Amino acid sequence: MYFYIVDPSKLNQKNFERVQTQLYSSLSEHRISGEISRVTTIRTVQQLVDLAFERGTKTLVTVGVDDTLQEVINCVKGRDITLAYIPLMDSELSRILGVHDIESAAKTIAARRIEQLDLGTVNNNWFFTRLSFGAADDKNEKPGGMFSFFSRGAPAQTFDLKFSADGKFNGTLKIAAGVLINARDNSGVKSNVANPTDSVLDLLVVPELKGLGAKKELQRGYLENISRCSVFHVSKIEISGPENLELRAGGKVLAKTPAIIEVLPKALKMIVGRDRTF
Amino acid sequence: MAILNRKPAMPPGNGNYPDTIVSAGMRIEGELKSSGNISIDGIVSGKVHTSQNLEVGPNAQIDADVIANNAVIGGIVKGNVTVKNSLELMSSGKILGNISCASLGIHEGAYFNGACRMQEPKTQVEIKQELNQG
Repeated sequence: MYFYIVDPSKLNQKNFERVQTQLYSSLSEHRISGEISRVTTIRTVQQLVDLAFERGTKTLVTVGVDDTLQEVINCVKGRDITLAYIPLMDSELSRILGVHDIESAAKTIAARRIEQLDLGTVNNNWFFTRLSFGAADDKNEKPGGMFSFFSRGAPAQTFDLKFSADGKFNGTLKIAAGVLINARDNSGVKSNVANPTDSVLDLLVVPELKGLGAKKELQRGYLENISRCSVFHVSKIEISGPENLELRAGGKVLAKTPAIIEVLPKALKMIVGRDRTF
Repeated sequence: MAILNRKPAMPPGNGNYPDTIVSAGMRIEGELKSSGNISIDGIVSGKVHTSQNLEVGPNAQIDADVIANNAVIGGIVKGNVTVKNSLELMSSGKILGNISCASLGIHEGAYFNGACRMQEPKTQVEIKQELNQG
């Protein structure tokens, strides 16, 4: 019934052995043991997902980091299965889904609280959290240091964004950063944006990023707190300009404009915890 | 109808639906429809429709028919404005079109050029009769 895909790539050998011991113990304690397969250089996530389906698995559990879960979601692509997540470290997805560590995740899986969540899709790639572009690109997150301290205060480059939403309206604006959000860690924040069960994607764009305050909100992911942020809620959006604008999810380029991005309502069956942020 | 000198308080919208915000500098063409509040500081042409509250900022320019539950207009609206409940026209506001609403407030300095149709207020007798029937 349970199939576990374990991705230890972010752990050293010593830590992995500790994690593995804790994992086996928690799975046994909560009676959710199943087949456990480890991602290696010759056994990819795609191959393990296909293997899970061949085995007739009902619940596919990702044990790893957010990138691993994102990859599993992309490999599953609409096939009927319930997913679950055991994070190896605190992360955005672990907070969104309300699973904090191995023990709490195992307890959550045993409780089997299943929610049907939205996904976003662009160029036949699926994403769960967000697509970023402009200064909101994940790759623009700079590490600390004196240069980055000063550069963080400098205004970001702007470009002309052109989009068409739901076949109903067109928009144009010179922007510095933008993001299409399906889900976000809203812990401690009262927000109606980024609900992965509302069947829409939230488009947030800002015309400028002046000052450290704006950059700080950008890095936190709360563009709506930046002055003159526009907010729209769309099922389908075509970004036609500028050309070759990179649309990134989790640091990876999923597409370049012109591109059509749309929401897939309730496309993901996920076991979630009580502390989920939606 | 009332001539006002104070900033009105916008009734709270339905918190279940997120707000749509068109910031200054944004240009929208087409039908802007939402189940939540809409706040406009940019340029919109086409149609604006919300079942909640509409706020038009002083720098906004709307060339569209507008439909809302409540509305506060501080910018320029060229089109018909249909509001189910309360419509407030701020001192910086201009409406060039017809208005339909239940309650209307106009601040000193506002500009309005069009026809105004308002729901006739109920008398105390009519209210009592409705309550008895209910």
